[in-house]
Amino acid sequence: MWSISLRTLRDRWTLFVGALLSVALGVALVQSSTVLLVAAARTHPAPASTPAEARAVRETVEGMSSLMGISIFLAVFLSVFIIGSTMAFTVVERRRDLALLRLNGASRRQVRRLLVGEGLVVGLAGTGLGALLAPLSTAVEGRLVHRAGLDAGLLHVGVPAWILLIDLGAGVGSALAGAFVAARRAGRVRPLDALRETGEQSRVMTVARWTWALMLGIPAMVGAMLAQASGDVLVAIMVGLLVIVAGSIALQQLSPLVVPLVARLLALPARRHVVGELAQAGMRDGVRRSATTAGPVIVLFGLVVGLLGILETQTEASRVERVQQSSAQLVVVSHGDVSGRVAATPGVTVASPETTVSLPVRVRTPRGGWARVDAPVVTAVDPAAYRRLTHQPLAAGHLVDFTGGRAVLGPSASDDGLGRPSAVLVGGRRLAVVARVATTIAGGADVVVDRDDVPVSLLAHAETTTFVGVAPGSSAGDVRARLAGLSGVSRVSTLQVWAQHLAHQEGRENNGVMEALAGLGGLYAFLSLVNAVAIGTAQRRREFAVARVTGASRGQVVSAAALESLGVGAIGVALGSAVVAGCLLGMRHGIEGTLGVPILEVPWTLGIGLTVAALAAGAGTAAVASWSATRTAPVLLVAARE
Amino acid sequence: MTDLRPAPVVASGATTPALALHDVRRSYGRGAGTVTALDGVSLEVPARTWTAVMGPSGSGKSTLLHVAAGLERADQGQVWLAGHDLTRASDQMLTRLRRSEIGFCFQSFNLMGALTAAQNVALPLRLGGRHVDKARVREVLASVGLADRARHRPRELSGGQQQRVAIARALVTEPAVLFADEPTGALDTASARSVLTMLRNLVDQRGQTIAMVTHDPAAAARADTVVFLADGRIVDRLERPDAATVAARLAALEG
Repeated sequence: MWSISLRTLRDRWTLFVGALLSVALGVALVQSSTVLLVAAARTHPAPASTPAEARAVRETVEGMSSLMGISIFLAVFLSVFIIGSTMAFTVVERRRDLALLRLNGASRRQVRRLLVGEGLVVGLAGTGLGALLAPLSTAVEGRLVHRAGLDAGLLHVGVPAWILLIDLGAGVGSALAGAFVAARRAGRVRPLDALRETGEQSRVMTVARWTWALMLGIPAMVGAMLAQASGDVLVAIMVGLLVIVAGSIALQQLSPLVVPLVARLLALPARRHVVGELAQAGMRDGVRRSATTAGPVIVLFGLVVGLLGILETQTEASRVERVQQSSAQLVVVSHGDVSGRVAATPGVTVASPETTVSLPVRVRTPRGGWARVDAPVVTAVDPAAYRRLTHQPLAAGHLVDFTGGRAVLGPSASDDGLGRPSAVLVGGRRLAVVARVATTIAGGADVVVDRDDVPVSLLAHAETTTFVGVAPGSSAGDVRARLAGLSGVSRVSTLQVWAQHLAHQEGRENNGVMEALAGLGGLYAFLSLVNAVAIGTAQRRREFAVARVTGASRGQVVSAAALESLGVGAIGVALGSAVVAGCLLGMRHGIEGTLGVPILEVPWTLGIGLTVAALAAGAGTAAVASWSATRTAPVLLVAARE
Repeated sequence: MTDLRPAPVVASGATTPALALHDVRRSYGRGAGTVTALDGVSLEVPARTWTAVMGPSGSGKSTLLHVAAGLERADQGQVWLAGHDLTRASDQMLTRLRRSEIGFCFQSFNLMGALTAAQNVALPLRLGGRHVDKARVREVLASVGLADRARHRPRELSGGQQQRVAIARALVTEPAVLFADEPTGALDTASARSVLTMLRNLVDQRGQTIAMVTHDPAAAARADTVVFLADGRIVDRLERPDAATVAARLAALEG
């Protein structure tokens, strides 16, 4: 059986190129992500580093760990998914060959072993190729995380020898896992199928398909409903990821139900023209081929558009939240504290300065000890002014009690694991905790303290944001002009513009993460789309030849194949949009619950761009493949038996 | 054409038949759409003889062959092949029988495109986990006149040559029965004649049992016995046939 596996691979290598590249890509990504993950785990701030430097290192390590963890998960998952669907597709396309083996005395187990053998060879070859590609992908990943605002230069990167074992495990493991799925299907091919012309199974919506569709579809729907806007970008991405991945696959499994439906819709205008009719017939007849092609489009669309939608929605939500939670009209950004002069400016009723400072923080544990907080964010404010302008909902306590010598736990305290301490040590000074701010979408400080409790030297040169209340009857424009004239002031803007600016900045960082993840998923999806169309079309030589001897021109055959691929691509986009809608509507609901305003940001430009790209890639591949499949004179193919 | 072949060995009648069908029924579909393909067919194919099955389109010829070879299950009745009841055999049993007792050749040659002629011939042995004797494979290929084509792929061979490879593959396991479904259907007259002569020689010289479905009277005339099928029943039978008689009977059935 092994030698037959090898023979088959050699003779019909085009069927396996996609699977091989998927394995190679998966191995390269797993290796580079593991290298960066190990580097992150080994990196600690130098003993002599300042709190700010230590914080930068820790943030890089944390961000890198999460990002690389997700990358590994995604790479392995997508590899198995694509290899599984590619191999399963080769089973459908080689149905006759497999049946022939059965006719010649092969047992079910032998046929399964053939498929597993192919998977093993593809896995080994892919691992080798992937290991060669890994340095390249490490470099690319390093650049992507750099764009995400993380500095890979802070890490001690080295390539350990045992990484080859990881490569082998990931490559061969994912190839075998994918092959097992296909092998089960191959084992069900009956000897008699060799004598039948049709390669398609009569029933495409199998029990397995229903099971997968429900098993993944239900959690996806529940996830979409529960998807609350979390303050943590990475958590939001993970929930969204679950919805998108599970939802995409559930719909991919269901696509054989949808294909005939859309094919019928397409029939209305298409039936007038013979090419349209051919395309529609092909789509209806090759339900499995259509479903295999639509699958990657669903995943591509769901993953890329969905992720960007989540991030844009979250960015917009945090902007709205910032505007909602402050009653200031203007925001002054300055070098050093200018609040005294701002407050003295005519037309200003209140000036509330906020400065983020680097101070060690310890929290009182229930047992009476003190626990150190890793990389804390401490914001120094003027409690009286803070009370007047800030309206963040409180989880406990009252802001009235917030004065010098006391502290408030900020919106990030809960996420950063500060707990519910009765007191905190900030820079060695003991402060009683009088209130806790509820978690917000935008996040913010861990601890809010009085400026008088912070060494003056820390405040003197730090960047300070001062929120400004304008007196009723005063012109905000006039006040703004006066504030801009103060020395040390670098920028004065309205609250809306300031929030917009901040959101834009955060969004840019998020987009770096998003590019890394979506680019990865998109690459896989693109690969498998082109692969599915190429295999599906190349195997139809006989069918095309029959169409041609019946009188179709080569151009008509090619147009019909391209049109069919367009239709299938459209189904993929429609289903992918459904996943995105489920995910974003869930978020919209969650945000409405928190902020009282429904927020939904749809990345239309990206969505339309991707639709055009996917449809063009599918139709283009179909055109090229069918052009090449019709190169031989049709009579030769129709007459030929093998 | 003068028929110089010897009288069939069947005359003794002492041996048990290589293949026997008893009251076999097979239908497709349900309710009003039911199509009865085999309606109580009983047939014996004696060992070392060649039986041809003829009949108009839709008479049930192919179903008869599929059921007799264990590729489809009968709804009712029994199929005995080399001492085994195929209607009760498990999938594993059927697999084993395909490796040892059953050989196939078809109108479409059904060769593995990825394998050479010699590899195609050796395939059933390898699938059965048996030692592949290269000399034996060469010998079988030589017996079908393809000694010099062992390393060719199917697409490098003519139709007649491909069919010979298919027959060699069917013979390599020395099956109890060789099932042939329109073996000359895709061949030109000259190739068809040489394939039929080869099959005749297999029966006469090596004692091979053949069950063949055809609608070519010239092919059926080379068999020892011709059985005529219509609407899923055996309606006629001809011993030591000649082409003209076969054609006349078939025309009567189709008319």
